[in-house]
Order: sequence, then C-alpha cells, then structure tokens
Amino acid sequence: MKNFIIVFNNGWMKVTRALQFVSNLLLFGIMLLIPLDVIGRYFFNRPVTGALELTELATGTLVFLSLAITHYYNEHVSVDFIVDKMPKRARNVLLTIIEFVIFILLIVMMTQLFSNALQYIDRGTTSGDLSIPVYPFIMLAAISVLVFALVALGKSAKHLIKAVEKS
Amino acid sequence: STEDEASGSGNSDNVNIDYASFKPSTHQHEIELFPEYFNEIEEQTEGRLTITTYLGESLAAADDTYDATANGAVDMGVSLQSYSADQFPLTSVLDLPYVTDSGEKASEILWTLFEEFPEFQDEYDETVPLILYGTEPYQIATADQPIQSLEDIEGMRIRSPSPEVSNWLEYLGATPVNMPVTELYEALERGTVDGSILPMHTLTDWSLEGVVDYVTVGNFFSAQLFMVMNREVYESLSEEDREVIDSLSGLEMSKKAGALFDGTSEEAMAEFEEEIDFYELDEEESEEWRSAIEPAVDDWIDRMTENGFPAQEIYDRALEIDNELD
Amino acid sequence: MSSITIGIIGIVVLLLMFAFRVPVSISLFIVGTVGYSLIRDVDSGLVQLATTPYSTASSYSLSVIPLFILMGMILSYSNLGKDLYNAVDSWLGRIRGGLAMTTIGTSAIFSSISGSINATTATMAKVAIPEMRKYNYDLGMASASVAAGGTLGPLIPPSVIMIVYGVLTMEPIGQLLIAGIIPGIIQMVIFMLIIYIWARIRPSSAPVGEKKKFGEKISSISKVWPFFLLFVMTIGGLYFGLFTPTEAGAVGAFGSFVLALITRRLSWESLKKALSETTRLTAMIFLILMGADIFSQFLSISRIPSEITTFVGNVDLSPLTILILMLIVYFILGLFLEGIAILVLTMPIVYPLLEQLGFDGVWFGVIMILVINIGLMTPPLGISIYVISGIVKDIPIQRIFKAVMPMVLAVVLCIIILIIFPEIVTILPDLMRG
Ligand code: NA
Ligand code: NA
Repeated sequence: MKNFIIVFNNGWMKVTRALQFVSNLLLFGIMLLIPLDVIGRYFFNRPVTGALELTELATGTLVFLSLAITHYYNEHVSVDFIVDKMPKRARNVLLTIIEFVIFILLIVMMTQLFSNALQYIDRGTTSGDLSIPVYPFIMLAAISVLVFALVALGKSAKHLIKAVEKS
Repeated sequence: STEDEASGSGNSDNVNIDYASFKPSTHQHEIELFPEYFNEIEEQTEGRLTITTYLGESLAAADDTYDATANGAVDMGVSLQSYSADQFPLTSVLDLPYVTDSGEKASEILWTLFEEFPEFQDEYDETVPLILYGTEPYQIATADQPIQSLEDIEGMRIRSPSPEVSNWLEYLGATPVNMPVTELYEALERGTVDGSILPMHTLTDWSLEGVVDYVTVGNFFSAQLFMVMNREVYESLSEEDREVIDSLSGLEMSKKAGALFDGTSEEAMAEFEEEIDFYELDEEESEEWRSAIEPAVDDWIDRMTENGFPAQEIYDRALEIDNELD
Repeated sequence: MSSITIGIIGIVVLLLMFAFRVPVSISLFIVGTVGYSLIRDVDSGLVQLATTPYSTASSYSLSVIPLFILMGMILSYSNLGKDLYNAVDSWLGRIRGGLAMTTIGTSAIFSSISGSINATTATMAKVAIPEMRKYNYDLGMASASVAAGGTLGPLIPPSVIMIVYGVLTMEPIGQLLIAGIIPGIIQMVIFMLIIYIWARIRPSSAPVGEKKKFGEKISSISKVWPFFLLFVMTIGGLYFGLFTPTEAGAVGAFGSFVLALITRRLSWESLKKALSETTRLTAMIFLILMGADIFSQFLSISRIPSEITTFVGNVDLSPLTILILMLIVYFILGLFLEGIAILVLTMPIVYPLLEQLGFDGVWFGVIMILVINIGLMTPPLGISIYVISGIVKDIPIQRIFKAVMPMVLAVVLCIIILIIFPEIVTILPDLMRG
C-alpha cells in the first residue's frame, strides 16, 4: 500500500509538471503577444485582433493549470502556528483529514466545471471577437482541478500512512 | 430560491427571490423604476413573493449574470446581452447602426421581435425574460479631439461594447478597443483610448463628464439589456403569482425601462451643455457615415443567414417597427 | 437560522479553519460555498463554486498580476535587481534603513501607477526582499516595507477604488483623485519614519552599509540603466496612457527578458525557473482571490455588511462617535472583504448618513481607503502578507504579520491625523472647487 502511494505520488508529479509546462508556455505566449499588439497598434496601425480575449483565456487557463503543482509544493498559503505545536501523530491525522476535505471540495468543483463546459457545448458559446469556442478552456480547467484533487488525495494518503506508522 | 427552508422560502406560497444586478445603487433604474416594479409584484401577490436586491455585482459579475440566473445561482438578474458573448446573436440586431433612435422604441422592437420570432425566443429559453429593453442611442464621446467628419475618426482608438459594434467602428475607420466600462474613466483620462461610443446617461452614471470634452451625436445604435428569471423558480410559482408577474412585465414595462434611459439621457445632455461640446451630424454627414457603415449590416445578415437564422426578416421587421413608431 | 446567524457562524468557522492549517484559499471556498448553499440552496452554492472562480481567473484586469510578477522574476534571476540595490546601497546605504525606505518609495510609485497592489507586492517582494537580505536587513523589516509601500497605490492617482467611490457617491471624481495626493505622501513619510525609528531601536535589523568611494557610486549607477529603461518604459507608458496596466506588465516582462538576453544574464535554466515560479505564485494568489470572491458573495447574501452599517448608523450618539464606530466597522469588514466589494455593499447606506452628520464626502473617501487598506496587512485575510509569504518561504506567516504591525499602526496614526486636521485632505479639492 505504502509503495503504491509513493509510486502514485511520483507518477502524478509528472502529470502536474506537464500541466505547469503548458502553463509556462501560455505565460510566455502572452508576454510575446501583448507587446506585439502594442507595437502593431502604435507603429503599424494594426493591432492584434482579439488580443484582449486571448489574454483573458490564457490567464484563466494558466492559473488553473498551475494549481496542482502549487499544492504539490505546499505553496497554497496556510497558517501553521497551532499545528506546529501538535504532536507528530496528531498533526498527521489532522493533515490527512484536511487533504481529504480539499480532495472532496475539488471533486465537487470539477464536476461543476464539467457541467458548465457541457452547457457551453450545448449553447455553442464562443469568445467575443475571435469566436473561439469557450468549452475546451472550461474542460481544461476542470481537468486541472481534477489533477489538483488527486494531488490532495495523494497527500492525504501519505499523511495517513505516517499517522498509522509507528513513530 | 424555492427549495430551502432556511431562506424562508420553503413552500410555493411564500417565496423570496434573490435579484442580482451589476448596476450601482446610483443607477436610475435601481433608484426608482425597479424597486417600484418589485413593490408592485409584492403587493399584488399579497406578500407571497418578496424580492431581495443585490447591487453592484455583489452576487454575480456583469458578464456572469445571465448564466448565474439560468443555472439558479441567483433567481433573477439584470445585465447586458452583449456581455454573454454569442448567447444572443439575433438580439444583436440592435447593435447594428441606425435601426432606431430611442430607448423606448428599441425596447418595443426587442419585445416585439421576441414575441414574433421563435428563433429569438430560443436565445432566452433557459430563462424567463421579464423585461427586454434598450438604451437611448449611443453617441461617440471623445476626450481631447472632436470628431466632426470621417477623416477625424480615422485611426482613433474608440472603446466598443460588443463585437458587432467593433465591426462597424472599423468600417468608420476607427480602431475599436475592448474594455470594461469600469476602466473607462481612467482610460479616457490617461488617453489609453481616444474616445468611447456611449449612451449619454453614462455621463452621469459613471461620472464621465469630467473626462469627456466632445460628443458627436449620430444616434448610432441602442445597447440591449435583459431582466430574466430562473425558469425553475418561475415555474414553481403558483399560476396566480405567475399571472401577476406576467401582467406587470413584458412590453409595457420594457418600454418604461427604455424611456427612463431616454429621460436620463436628455437630462445629462442638458446638464453638461456647458462643459461638453455636442456636435450633431447633419443630414448630409449622416448620409456619408451611413454609407460607410452599410457593409456591416450586410456582414451581419450574411453571417446570421449562414447560421440558419431568418436574419433578413428580423432586420427588416426591426426597421418596420421603428417606422411604425415614428 | 437567519442569514445573519449563518454569516456569523461562517466567519467563526473560517477563522478556525485558518488556525488549523487549512489553506487560506480553500477555507474561503468551503465556507463561501457551504454558507451560500445554506442561505439559498445547495444548487446555487454549487453553481457559484464553478462560475465565480473561472470568471475571476479570466478577468482582464487581474491578468496584470502574472505579467508584473514575471517581470520581477526575470529582473531577479538575471541579477538586474541586485545591481539596482547595489546602487541604492552605495548612495543611501549610510542612512540606517535606507534600503527599506527606498523600497517603500519604489513600491508606492509602482503600485499607484500600475493600479494593482497584489502585482506590486509580488514583484517588489521578489526584487527587493532577497536583496535586502543580502545586506543583512531583518526579513521582517524588509517584508514590512514592501507590504506598506504597496498599500499607498489606491491613495495616489490614478486609483480605481477612488473612481468607484465617486461613482457610488456622486462625489466629483477629479476632486477625489486630487484629494488622495497629500495624504498619500504623508502616509509614505510616516512609513519611512517608522523604518527610521525601528532601525534606531534595533540597529541590527538594518545595518549601515560600507562607505563607498565616489567612483564606486558612479559605476553602480551606470549598471542600473536596464532597470531605468524598464521603469521609463512601463511606468512612463502607463502614465502617459500608451497602454493598460496589463499591457505595461507584458511590455515590462518582455523588456526585461530582452535586456537580460542581450546582457547575457539569463540562462535557459533561469528562464524556466522564472516562468515556473511566476505561474505557481500566480496560482496561489488567484486561488485566494477566487476564494475571496466566493466568500464575499456569501457575506453579501448574509446581509451582515448592510445590517451592521445600518445598526451603527442608527445609534444615538455624537457625529464623531458615530464616525469612529463606522471606521471600526469598516476596519472589521476590511479584515474579510476586498475594498471595492466593501464600498458597493455599504456606501448606499453609509453615505447619506455621513452627509446628514455633516462630514465631507471627499474627505471620507480618503479616510475610508486608508481604513480598508489596513486589512491588506492584517490577519486573517491579509493578502499582501500572503503574497509576500509566497516568496519569502523560510519565515512563518505569523512572523510577517507581526513584523508588519508597526506599519498598521502607522496607518492608524495617519487616519487620526486626517480626522484632527481634515484640511490636509480638503485643501487641494477646495482649490479645485475654486
Ligand atoms: Na493609484
Ligand atoms: Na486582513
């Protein structure tokens, strides 16, 4: 069981890395796109059509894609002062519960995002000027939240093992 | 909400409706017209329906309001159709230039089209529209440079509220810029945009009189707004209560909402007569602008027809209703 | 249960979750969603759980955050930030606390013009804190100067929150914007004084730099041209209306990328690190902002903000007492809610009352922005501190909160000064009124 969790967490790490890689590309992309738009606008009177909505779509997507790895590195801010003073086992029990609650919340959120995406497919909703379909971006957000959820589940399992193990 | 005991709305004869609006409390419609309308509903249903108002995007962002109402995050909501991307392709007929020149008429056109065309009703089928209304005509407001001719507008960065409007602004030679209205004051002050296409009531509503120096009056188009109710909530009401809502909503209420824009607009133009230079395009100039814009109308009709909509009929009918009202 | 009761329970649960190490963002999500579901119904709570985060994440005005952070990361990884602080140290290093004071000033300019406190705080934290650490500054003082400097933004024009206040109250926006200038400068001076006193009391927290020869001083300046160029490009471009804050962020990030490339200071590895750190920090900040939006929808539907302000407005006390009670209410709301949300929820109730009590609307706008700002630096929801702790990972958050306390007191001091001498606020707008 313990080995399975370790393998799972390591494998999962690769998935979260891959998502972050795409996220980085998007960030780099808008860093290039926006100056291009500004230059086009001022020097050639030819702005990039849809620069604004591309920026919105890219920002939204890059945020979701990076949520999981941020959680993996424990970078979603939390306040430690009480937990720090708890005995190790109690702390692991608490963290098992917290991570599991996070997992549940995210699964619910993922389901909601998916049903939103389905709704958008139904309606054929597209973005303003470029008429890009919106649903793939919501889907991607949903998938990112799922990955985030599984990172939390993995952590929960890890803490559970620590809590159960003899310390 | 109709399902929850906690909100005191447990049974169908005692329902609280959560109404979400992006408008601030200072907005004309939220000061008088809508509160009166809600009071009337409450009175005529003998208190079985109560409406709680949440303003200023506190429950739903302007561009989320339609979805939030359709999905039931709120029970009722007001916003602009143009915020919901392409949810309302046929409604955007009023985004086309020179369809009509008053809010009241725009509202009558909207509601009539809604009643006459099933394709138009389809756009709203996830909700129950109570009011469909249009603003007074949009004019072009600029900060530093007046626009009196097509040469003047060439290359100017003009904020546009929707893709359709952006399209014909380009035919006029302007560079349309997308931007939320909340950022407009700053953008005009700093010169990020040279101007904005605006209905005149926003001069007061968003305090833009401080940064706008010139207005070119051409009565270009009317933006569209909706007040819709969540379908499930509506259907859960008793027949009697639904009848009350129906009788108070619809064409007459829509016209009132549009007319309120017309009134506020006139007041704003009178109030700022001194500070702002209003330039009215004369007959001849209007003709010139009209022919420059013309292709945008064909674009719209072609695109909508391609998607299987009776676009030509809808456009023609809109003009016809406007003519009847003149 | 009444919606107010649910609201109060929600706040208590939120604090408990914070205390027991549930991530801040997740706590906001959970309490916001469950609370909204209890007051309305489960379906609507669940709808908010999906639509609000997506709409927050894809809002154009927030896209300024990752771009400015990326600029800060590139500046930091390419050592351009180091050159900047080296120059500041050679000129101001002899003044105790000089680096921290400079940081406050730079943050103030950055924040006031970019319009984003979060973007400023993150960028400056990345550029300034590691540098101050190299000069053996106390991390608490370094964090405090970054956090405090950032909060000056809304006071100094341009300022979105001032515009929103003007729209909600019909006070003239031009006068409001002008009114913030002198208080902003006074507040900045008080912040710097705090650093000065802090450095006097605890000299170890801000060591005096070595004396530099004039030649060294000049050569240090000659190395900061890339930074200077970037500053002129982004801040100048913004100020003169060439582009929006988001565009300024992208131009700044792109500019620093190009400069780092041509000065051969950016390896492939560091670029990857800069991008990865930016996206992770952005994810952290946005998850809190999303949670804060959901929580704020819950609080508005609980009607606590409007009930509490109505209550205070109706007590039968002297105008000054009511004013102070009102400011305390705003302080408490500021602990949990974002500034614009507070204005929207309370102004329709509070503003008519203030007029009735005879207070100047422009003056109150400035005071209120100061009060709301305090919340950025205080627990439980002090987003500036969370942003800093996302960068300075090796000290616990509670230590940063503690270190920033003097700055919070500085804001309170400034508010007291402005209540005693309202002319400080009204003199410029009065000149405008003629
Ligand atoms: Na500012
Ligand atoms: Na706070």
